[in-house]
Amino acid sequence: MASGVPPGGAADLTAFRLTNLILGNHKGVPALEMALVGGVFEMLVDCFIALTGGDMAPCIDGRPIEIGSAVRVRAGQRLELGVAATGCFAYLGVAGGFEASESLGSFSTYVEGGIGGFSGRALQAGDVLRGLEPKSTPEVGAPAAEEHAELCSPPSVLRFTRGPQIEYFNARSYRQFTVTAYRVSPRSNRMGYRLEGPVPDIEPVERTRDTGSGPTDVIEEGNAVGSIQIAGGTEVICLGRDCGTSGAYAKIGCIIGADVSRMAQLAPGSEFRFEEVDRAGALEALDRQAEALDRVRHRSGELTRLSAGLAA
Amino acid sequence: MSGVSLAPEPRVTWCGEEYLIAHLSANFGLYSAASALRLQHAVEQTELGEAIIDSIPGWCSLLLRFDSRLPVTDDAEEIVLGVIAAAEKQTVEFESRLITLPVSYGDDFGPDLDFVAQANEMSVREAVERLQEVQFAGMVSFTPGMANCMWLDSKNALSAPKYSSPRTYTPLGTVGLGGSSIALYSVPSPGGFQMVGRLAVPVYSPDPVLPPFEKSPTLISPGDRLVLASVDAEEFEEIGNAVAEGHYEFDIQPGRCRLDGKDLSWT
Repeated sequence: MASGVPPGGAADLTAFRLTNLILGNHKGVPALEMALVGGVFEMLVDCFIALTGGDMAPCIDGRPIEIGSAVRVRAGQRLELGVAATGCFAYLGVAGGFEASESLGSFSTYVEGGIGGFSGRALQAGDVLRGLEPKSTPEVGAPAAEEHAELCSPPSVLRFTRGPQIEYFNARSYRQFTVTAYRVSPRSNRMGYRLEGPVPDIEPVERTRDTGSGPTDVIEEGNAVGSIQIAGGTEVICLGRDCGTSGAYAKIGCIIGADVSRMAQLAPGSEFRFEEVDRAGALEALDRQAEALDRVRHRSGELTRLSAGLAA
Repeated sequence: MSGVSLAPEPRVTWCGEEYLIAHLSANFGLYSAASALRLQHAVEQTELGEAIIDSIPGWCSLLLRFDSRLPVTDDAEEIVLGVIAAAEKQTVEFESRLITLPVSYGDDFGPDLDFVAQANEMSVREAVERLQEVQFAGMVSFTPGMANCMWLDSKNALSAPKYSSPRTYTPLGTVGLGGSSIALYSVPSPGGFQMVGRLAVPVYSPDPVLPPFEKSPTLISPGDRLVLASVDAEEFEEIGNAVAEGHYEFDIQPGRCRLDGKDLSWT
């Protein structure tokens, strides 16, 4: 980030982790991220796949398959994914993980910077994705349906901590900010989520000539992923994982880590509201997510041990 | 305009559980920018160092990103404020190379140069001379490798308002002026700075063809000094060809910045 490269990574980090846990993969091996719309994939070899995150009504040769579980597919079969009926970002994982290029410690594609993932760009029709050697044979079934519902369903609330420029907003407008419903604008992407809803009133803040001339201008500073900034005093924008690493707009708050992932399941048009927590609350939310993922990890590990025992 | 004041600096604020931002000052200037770099180096030396994943110096602030699972981060506010209080009495040195980058000023590459000269009540020639005075790249941020600079000597500084409505597109390599800051657009991006010229060389390269990009896709590091040297159209083309053929040699001189209390010096 110190060189202007955003942190990147899966928009819904939790859904991405869940895909790999279901498949018994090594931590952090590449999966395919799809936003709003899926695609058609032809299997060139027999393998196990898993889908998590947004529900794009996946079908194998026309037969619906479950999301949040490992599915055995054979060479020649076609996986079809449509428009996300619920959620927004979906992850397609394969046992072993996909082959992808690593850049600056991440396999994710940073399209604006042309790095990482598959040739530093979004996939195109005709691209061939290769799989890596699987660590183990995953258990076919639904070992994570409950956790998938808990972790990957679209949220109705995003929790945040108070921002560094809270003084720009008076008590009344701050209160309004925490009770109003906001809607995700179609002009949203991995860089930022623009919101439709009331813009908090701006208090006239004492300025120096260096602050800038706009009502919410501040001296350029680093941007935390999840920052809720009020751009130009007219627009509420939540910064995503591919955000500019610095900015010069006042921030009313910052969405907690656990909910930055959940934000990824808010499709354009979805409504939610904000709820303030402190850092302890943010850490607790992260612990809860980790516990749910641990349950899947243990179950997956036990099944692997069991099947290894049977094989021996 | 009277109004509320922001809480006094220094102050630290958690942004979620992973990021902490320290505001050092409300004064834009070389000392504030260097102080942010000093804090960056000093915090790394504390017990918090092992928990730091990333840090972004701002003009008057430092944003730290931690591995929030480490218990030491529970004490981050206290530790950072302690470091800030002690820093003014300490001497810190950090790398500050002197990098000369060729720039073609004006014409199609710098359509706003005339406006900038007028805004500063000087001739275009004088403006270009000022633009070639040494810059301090205090921030490398926004897009990969994008350097934000201020004049090392503020008496050389030019100043111009930003676009009232930002452009949706700024060509790769544009040298922009907004307020008294220079920005080098490392990738095509939206932008609001006045366009005064175009770099003949890349400052961001995801494919490491040229030697300075072998270790990092970004050329400039926070703390480096830059000279944006004027070249004519013919030289601009020659340099561009050398870059494309992979044999351009960047002019990078080693150097260090020393911040002793409030005194800045370079060696």
